[in-house]
Amino acid sequence: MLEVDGVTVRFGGVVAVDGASIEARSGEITGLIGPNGAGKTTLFNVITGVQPAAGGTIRLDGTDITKLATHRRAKMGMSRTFQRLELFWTLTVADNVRVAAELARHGDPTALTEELLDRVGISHLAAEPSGSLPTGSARLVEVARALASTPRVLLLDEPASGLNESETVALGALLRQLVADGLAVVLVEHDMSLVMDICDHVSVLDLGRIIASGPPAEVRTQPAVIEAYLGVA
Amino acid sequence: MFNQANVFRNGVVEVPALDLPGLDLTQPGQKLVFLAVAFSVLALCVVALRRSRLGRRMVAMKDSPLAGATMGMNLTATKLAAFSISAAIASLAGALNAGKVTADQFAWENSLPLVLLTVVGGVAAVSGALFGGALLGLNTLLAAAIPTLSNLTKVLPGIVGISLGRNPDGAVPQIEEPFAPVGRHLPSLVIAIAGAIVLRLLTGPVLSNWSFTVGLIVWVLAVVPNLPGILSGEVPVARRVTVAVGLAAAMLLAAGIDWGTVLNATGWRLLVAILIVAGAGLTGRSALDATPRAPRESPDMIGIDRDFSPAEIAEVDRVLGGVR
Repeated sequence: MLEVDGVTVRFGGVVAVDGASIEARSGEITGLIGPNGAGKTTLFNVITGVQPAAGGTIRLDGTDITKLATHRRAKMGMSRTFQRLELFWTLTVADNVRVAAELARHGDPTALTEELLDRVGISHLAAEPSGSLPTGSARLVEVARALASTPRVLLLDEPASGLNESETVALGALLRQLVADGLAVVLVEHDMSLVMDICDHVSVLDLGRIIASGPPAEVRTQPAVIEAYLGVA
Repeated sequence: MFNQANVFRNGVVEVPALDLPGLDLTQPGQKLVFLAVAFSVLALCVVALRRSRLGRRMVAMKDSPLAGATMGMNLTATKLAAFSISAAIASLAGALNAGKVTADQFAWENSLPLVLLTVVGGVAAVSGALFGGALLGLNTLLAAAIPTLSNLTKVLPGIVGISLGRNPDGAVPQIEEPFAPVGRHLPSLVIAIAGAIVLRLLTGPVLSNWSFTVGLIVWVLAVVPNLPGILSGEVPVARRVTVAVGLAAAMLLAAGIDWGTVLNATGWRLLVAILIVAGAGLTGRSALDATPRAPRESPDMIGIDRDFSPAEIAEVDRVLGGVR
């Protein structure tokens, strides 16, 4: 569904992403892991069009979207959450989700908003101003908002950081449900047990390059991965 | 643009007053009421817009353009809508600004205090525009009434702007706070409106215009915010009666004195009016604190939940190598 092929991003002389290729398939969760500064968020920014690519191509359902504006990619069925929270702080929780639902124009925004808040487990916060939420709840609002734009590809940037153990388990279960309905999910996450539990496929990014790729059980034993994480061969 | 010869031919353009049946808008009194009505209607339209789909979208874009775009928002189109609506409102205001219009009224420096005072009022609230406009009007009045202060009134908008450092949302959200409980308490609301009507009815036979003005200021700013607390609430009855008697005395004093004869210069009247507004505003907030205000976190204190202990200060000194 989403194919990222040899994408490169440069900030001046620094190569943040260096010919990275990943693929997200409908019905699968693709984990994207790597040490801090590996370029995971930058890769998300390129995929969503927030950051231009210096090279490579991005395709959605076979269509080249490398040069497409951010909002057009969203209309084609791509949505994301942010590691550094980007809520609409002065709006209520419900209105955050509603704005996205209204932009998507799929069915009744009010009903969709209620359904999603319930599904993510924050209906009791609907009338709260989103600026007053603790990080964990704010992350769940981001997830609900991203789902409200009725995506086919969902990019999640560390959705579990700030969540407690039971909330993390609930989020994992929700993501499994969503991919069972045909969604493609790319998950950037530092919580390794979550990644290993729910991902069908894991890619490891280090210094802007994909150094390993495959089923979670295989990837975790590869020497290059262990070296990137622990600094020993 | 306004300096071009084809816009202002001799530097002055005569704009005829709006011709409405039954209204003579060249008369100041009728014009004032008409403009107030026009402002209110526009304000209601803006509030309706704010609660609409487009309004939500515009607020969302202000909070996070990045998230907006990734949810499918066309930022260019949304900004264009916001600026078009602003321009439409401004041009309507310009059309209502009848009389002699000169090019130098539109000098770019003149727009600076306008923008600044609107932000001081609060750009996120509709009443912010009213408050900013009132401040600007008051400043002009003050400059005309007390020429000695002309230097001060020139820099006053700038000085007021400094307050934004502490209160970036503007003044209006803070001013509205004490009035929120009144809106939720029907008896208080009825008494508040009835009191204002009684004051108006007494004007003429009993009260002079100046007494009405001062009385209304004290009524709205000092008495009304305390009505819910006096009529109901957790405060002991004795305290409620004391406050009620105190406020009644203040009302008698405010409306009882014929300010027009006591103070015979407009400048003095203005100064006293400002002092009364300030005093009444403070009383309204503190006389009966039935609804404790949410503590406002000072920006200087964010991230610090307590004072440092002497041991910690010594540790910092040691790490910095005794720089202090």
